[in-house]
Amino acid sequence: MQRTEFLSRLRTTTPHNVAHPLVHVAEVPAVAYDQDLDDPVSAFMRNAAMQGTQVSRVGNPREFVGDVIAQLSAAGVISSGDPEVAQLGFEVFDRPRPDADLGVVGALYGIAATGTVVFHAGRAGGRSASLLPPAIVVLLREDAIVRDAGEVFRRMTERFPDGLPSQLVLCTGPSKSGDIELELTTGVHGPGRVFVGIVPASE
Amino acid sequence: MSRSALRVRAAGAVDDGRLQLALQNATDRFALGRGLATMSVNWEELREAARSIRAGILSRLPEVLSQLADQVEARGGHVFWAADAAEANDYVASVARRTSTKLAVKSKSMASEEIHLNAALEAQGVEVVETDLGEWIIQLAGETPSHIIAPALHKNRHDVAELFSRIAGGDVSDVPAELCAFARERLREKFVNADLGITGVNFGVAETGTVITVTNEGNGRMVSSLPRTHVAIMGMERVVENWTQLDVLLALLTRAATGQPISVYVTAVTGPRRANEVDGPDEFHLVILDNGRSKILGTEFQEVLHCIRCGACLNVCPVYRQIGGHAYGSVYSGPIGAVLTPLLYDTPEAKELSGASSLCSACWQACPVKIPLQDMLLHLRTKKAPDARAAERVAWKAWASAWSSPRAYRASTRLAATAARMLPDAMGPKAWSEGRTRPRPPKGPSFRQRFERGEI
Repeated sequence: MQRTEFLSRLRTTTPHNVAHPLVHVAEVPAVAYDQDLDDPVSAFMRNAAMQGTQVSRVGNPREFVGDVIAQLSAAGVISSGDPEVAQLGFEVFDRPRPDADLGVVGALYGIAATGTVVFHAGRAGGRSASLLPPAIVVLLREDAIVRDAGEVFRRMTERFPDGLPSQLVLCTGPSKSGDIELELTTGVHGPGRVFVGIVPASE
Repeated sequence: MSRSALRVRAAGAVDDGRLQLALQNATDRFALGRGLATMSVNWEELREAARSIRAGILSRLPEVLSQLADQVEARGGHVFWAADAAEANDYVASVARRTSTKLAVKSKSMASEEIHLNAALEAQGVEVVETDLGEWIIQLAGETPSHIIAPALHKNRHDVAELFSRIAGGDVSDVPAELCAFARERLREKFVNADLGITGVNFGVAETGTVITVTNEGNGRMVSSLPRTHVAIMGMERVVENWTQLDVLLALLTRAATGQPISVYVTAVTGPRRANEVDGPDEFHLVILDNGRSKILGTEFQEVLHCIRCGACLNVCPVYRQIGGHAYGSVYSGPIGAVLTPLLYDTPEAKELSGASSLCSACWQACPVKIPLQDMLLHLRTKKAPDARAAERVAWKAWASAWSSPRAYRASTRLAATAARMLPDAMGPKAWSEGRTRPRPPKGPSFRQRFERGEI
């Protein structure tokens, strides 16, 4: 069906319910979180840990990534093209490798209220490094941590003046499923282990 | 009179002890999660705003959908406008043919369930694999979802182990973590080899031409990242104007669904991959689906299109909690299903669903966008009243006219009290009176009689 034909069939009204009349809210309210977000870095760490992320402040990112590789005895490591990763002097992957044990990636933002990291496909040069391996290490700059999702969402066009990237992902902890008897299992599709290193702004 | 299809299905569910336990467990857990999560934000303020936001969008729907389509196309995506299920299925099938698709992977999508997309693709030889763990389980079992967000809640670990053992060609353990590991391995193979990825859409954001999918497992992200072609199917009402509205609706969605402050993955896709990206789909298609929704616009039921598919109304519904999703005989179950199904499909089976409610309004209280579902269920019952049998209509009319006159009212209550005292135990609600002492009207004068005598 053509667009004009499709749209011409849409009658538009506002709902009329006598028992429960619609209240018009002119200004969209902010989401108000019942928690202390004044120090976004510690709020991020608290919430990320609650969601199952292993989060720490990191002085030396190269050493930190090396420690995780050793801890997991990771043989195949892929990395993204994010600037935080480029600074490590690792090889940037050239094509997706489904068999890697560990992905090393950078985050565009951290969101304190939910302990979320944000991946940007354009900045990373792709999607696979943060998606395919069973474990990922995320490098997050301290000054990239915002209070809440609204701080990103409500200024989206300002933050991305040239339009949005092909894929923007908010990732909060390891992949989870409760589809078998509601028993929590991790890593069914996405990474089952998520390490976040918060690196100083100057790095 | 023969029992209706709904009653037969419901009776089967009520007699299934294992299902009863699973339903109670799941709905209690989700409802508790929602209750706790509502305390973590300005819940009531956000609900009221969300209702107003959704109403505003529907009142400008042609403009908002146009903007979404323009933005998707500006980013190199394709938009298809599907009037009904057949048009949507034909389009996806044509994309599959053109891209020589042999294998398609899907992440959970109620819209694609609604149009029976899998069958349409399989009819032309495409293998379609559901990748949400719950959806995969019921696909292997050849069943339909029994809950919006927990489609396989009626299956226990032994059922799942049995299904997986069948495809493994050997015994698979029934430990959930091991079952998940098995699913990861099997489905990973499918993700990597699939030619086409099909997702639903939780929200389409008009301002930037972005489609949002929300998953906990990450399969939504896999499906929209690995195959060369990505098709997203969106019920036309699932659009928002901008990211500010999305902020509110997303905050409500995951809290209302499971009590999570946010789902593990929120994937925002804006067009196909760009030149500097090593992976991602080369083609992005957005199918905007009407399939009966435009008939609901402009009616007293319009607000049902505000729904963001969180499943909160199912978890609190005293009827759903007893009979489960399959008893509704529709893709959409619970209070939302009982309203939406008869509006989408004008069949006698769909019409009787409005009876599957106690009108207690727990659904409305739980709904994150405040849809007055109980009012709609009542309207639907009013609409089907003329279909009642003649004898039933006469009986109701007689009752209405009797109780409109004080004398006839008094006579009827006296008669009822006498009859109730004389009624033998064998008659009346048998199952109910098992284990209960049936109340009897007290002997002696009634309240009215004593009031008239001046005793009260």
